[in-house]
Amino acid sequence: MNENNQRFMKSSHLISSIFSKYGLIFALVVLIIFLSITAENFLTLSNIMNVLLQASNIGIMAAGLTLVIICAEIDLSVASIQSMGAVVVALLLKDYNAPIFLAVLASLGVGILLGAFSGLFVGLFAIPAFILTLAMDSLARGGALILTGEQSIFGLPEPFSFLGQGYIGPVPVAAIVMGLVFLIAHLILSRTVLGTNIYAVGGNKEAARVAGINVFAVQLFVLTFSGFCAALAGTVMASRLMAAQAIMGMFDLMDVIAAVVIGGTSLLGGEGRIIGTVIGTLIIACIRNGLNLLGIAADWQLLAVGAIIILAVLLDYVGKKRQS
Amino acid sequence: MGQPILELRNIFKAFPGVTALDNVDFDVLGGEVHVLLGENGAGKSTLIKIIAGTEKKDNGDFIFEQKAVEKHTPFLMREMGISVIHQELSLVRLMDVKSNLFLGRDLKKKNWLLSKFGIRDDAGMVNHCKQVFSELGINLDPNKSVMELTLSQMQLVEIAKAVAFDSKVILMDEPTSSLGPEEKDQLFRVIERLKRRKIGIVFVSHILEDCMAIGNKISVLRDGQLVASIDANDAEIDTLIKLMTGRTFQERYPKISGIIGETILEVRNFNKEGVFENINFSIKKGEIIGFAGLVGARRTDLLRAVFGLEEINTGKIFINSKEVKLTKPRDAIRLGLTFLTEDRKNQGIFPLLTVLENLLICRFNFRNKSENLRLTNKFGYINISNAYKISDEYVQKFGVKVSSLADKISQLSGGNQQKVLLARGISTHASVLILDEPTKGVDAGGKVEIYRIIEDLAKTGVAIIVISSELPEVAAICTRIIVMNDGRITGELPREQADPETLMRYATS
Ligand SMILES: Nc1ncnc2c1ncn2[C@@H]1O[C@H](COP(=O)(O)OP(=O)(O)OP(=O)(O)O)[C@@H](O)[C@H]1O
Ligand SMILES: [Mg+2]
Repeated sequence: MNENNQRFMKSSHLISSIFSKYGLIFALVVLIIFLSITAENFLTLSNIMNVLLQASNIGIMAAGLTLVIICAEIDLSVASIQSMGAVVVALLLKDYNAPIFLAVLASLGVGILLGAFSGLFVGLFAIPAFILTLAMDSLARGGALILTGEQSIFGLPEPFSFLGQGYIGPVPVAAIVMGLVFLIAHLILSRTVLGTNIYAVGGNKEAARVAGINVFAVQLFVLTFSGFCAALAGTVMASRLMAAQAIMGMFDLMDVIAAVVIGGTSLLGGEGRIIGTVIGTLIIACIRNGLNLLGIAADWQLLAVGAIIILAVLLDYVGKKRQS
Repeated sequence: MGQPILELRNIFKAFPGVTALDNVDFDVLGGEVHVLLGENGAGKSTLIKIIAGTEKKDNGDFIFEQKAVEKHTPFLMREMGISVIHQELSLVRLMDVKSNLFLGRDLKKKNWLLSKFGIRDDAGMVNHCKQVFSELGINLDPNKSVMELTLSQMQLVEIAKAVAFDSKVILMDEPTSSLGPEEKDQLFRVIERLKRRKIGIVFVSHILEDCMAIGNKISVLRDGQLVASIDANDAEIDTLIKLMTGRTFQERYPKISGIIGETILEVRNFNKEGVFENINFSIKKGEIIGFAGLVGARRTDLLRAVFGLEEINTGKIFINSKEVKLTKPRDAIRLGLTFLTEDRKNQGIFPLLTVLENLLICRFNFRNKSENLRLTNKFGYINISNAYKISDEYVQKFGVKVSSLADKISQLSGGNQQKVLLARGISTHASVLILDEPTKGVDAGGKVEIYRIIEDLAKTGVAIIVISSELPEVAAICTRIIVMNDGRITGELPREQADPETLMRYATS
């Protein structure tokens, strides 16, 4: 019933809505318990911070994608825009000696532009986002390859590492950035007119038009925001690795979509919450980290991730079913 | 009339916060139309859904042809012989009529080999389809695509589908709510034939005249309880209203009028090829004009175009004597217009959003600088407590039956959803309201309340345009009536001259 719509709920409803998320939280808890038993280093403070650090770029992109999917659109270009963002910031720092601040801004600007480009086509010409962002995925990846001449870029200025390697207290800066992005996305969705419009357009586009909602502006916004988030993720990643490469994060798209969908956002649009995506991101990150700790090879990891995603969604389904 | 086909005993059903059905007994006899009456939210649709298997009862016995039924799924119910004609029709729009009639059970070729490969027998399906149609007196081409049908034709196809399934019980939830007089007669003729085939019919409607005309037995629900079950011949409208509401109404269709001012909206020379032509009309502040006509007269298309929902070939709109650019709904709303759609499900509600959001969505997007309770700040950040206050006022004013403003709107009964949409329509303080079937699915008491709200608005100078297929409604609330036929305006008369015969003459001229 109300599980996905925390907005405007009185506390009694809120409790039941959190309770119906029980399945999802349950999955995360089981996963954590399992990993802390099997991998002895899993439940240490430093490893947990490490999980958050590794989750940061997936989480940042997932926040953007959540808005897109709630709006009943899709963005398949996030992983490539991420690479593009990383490449742009790295090139500006390395080849042009640009100030860090400007280089980061430029990278975010490129993400915004690419996202807005998709949004423009989807909103103005009613081209399905599936096709358009698939093409954008290819454009952005190709562009990054050309910009880098298929080479890796190393030797970025030391202060740039703060974003991806720095810590404030025990917490990685990248994780704080992810938290901020989640918070902003949450506030947009739950407390603003724009957020209500995103749910409205995703739930019933025709009714949204009749009600005078600027459907084009909403579609443009979500895809632009997603582009912004992807470029930000790329900047964070470049800073963490202190390097950039056009083919990095090739397989991140799957993790990002999985994080959103595991989090209970409906691919049909109109339903979903950021808190779900947060949990979804943590589940994915724990799986990746745990499998690494257990020393499982990359090919088996792929298999395991697929299986665990199915399991998590299944648990969520059972939880919801019992609710209603 | 013999044994009942379907017997329900002590049916109990509760949703969080409401008891929808409180130990209800209900029988359906073959060859009989059993009317179910009640106010909005009384539990009628819930009872229909329980019979159809789409909603589970909490308690009670379900006996079909003298056998207790334990398992309830929509599929099993249909196999058993229970069909539903929902108000929101469920045909597959992209397929033709015959394929819809046999959906899921296409006839196979008689030839053994071909049937093994699952080859469809189109000719056989056409024949069978024609046979069912002729038995029911329906005149339709089985090869026509469903998209080309009118709403009432789709309804007839649904009924034919139920008959082709050999249904013994057919449930109809508000089948007449947007039918014109002729289509209604057609539907009633089909129902008479169903009765002759000994099919049992459950019929829900808020149009009491229809219930009296077609019903054999009338059961009245109030707040989930069965308060009476009487023979239709003994029923009188006043008694039924009393049973439904516990109140009496002096007048069901009070004559209302506003305080007339200057001309506010003028539509000049509207043309849309193949849809409407040469349309000119204007409306003054405080006026309430009605658009009358048969179904297919293009009233909805015209007013959708005025609101910017449909493109036109030529035409100008003047507001307060100034020509305005109005090409999309956003323009219209900014210029002070508002539009209530007749297609609640597809163009009206946001099923996944709360009652509060559904009600305030226009207010959120079109800020009114003079409002005393601020709904949002300039960044579009919502003030939740004010949102509650404002929507609560509207909910009270329209008498929406809802347990919490944070409930999803899809949990409300149909009539209550309609009231929320009306409230949304007036929430922007528009100066011209375009209302397409404003009281669709609203109960008799709720209608009178809505007429009063319309009157209050007209008294403050709001201009109101109404389309309604309920003639008494048009004649009562509209001070002037414009009649359309086939995309043209064929007449215009003051309320005093608007008797059904005159209206009909213009509507067919
Ligand atoms: N899925 C649901 N969740 C919660 N409450 C519900 C749900 N469906 C119906 N209700 C409530 O049950 C009550 C009966 O609703 P129902 O739809 O049966 O009314 P109705 O008699 O058909 O009214 P109307 O004339 O307006 O169509 C209402 O108070 C409604 O809000
Ligand atoms: Mg109903």
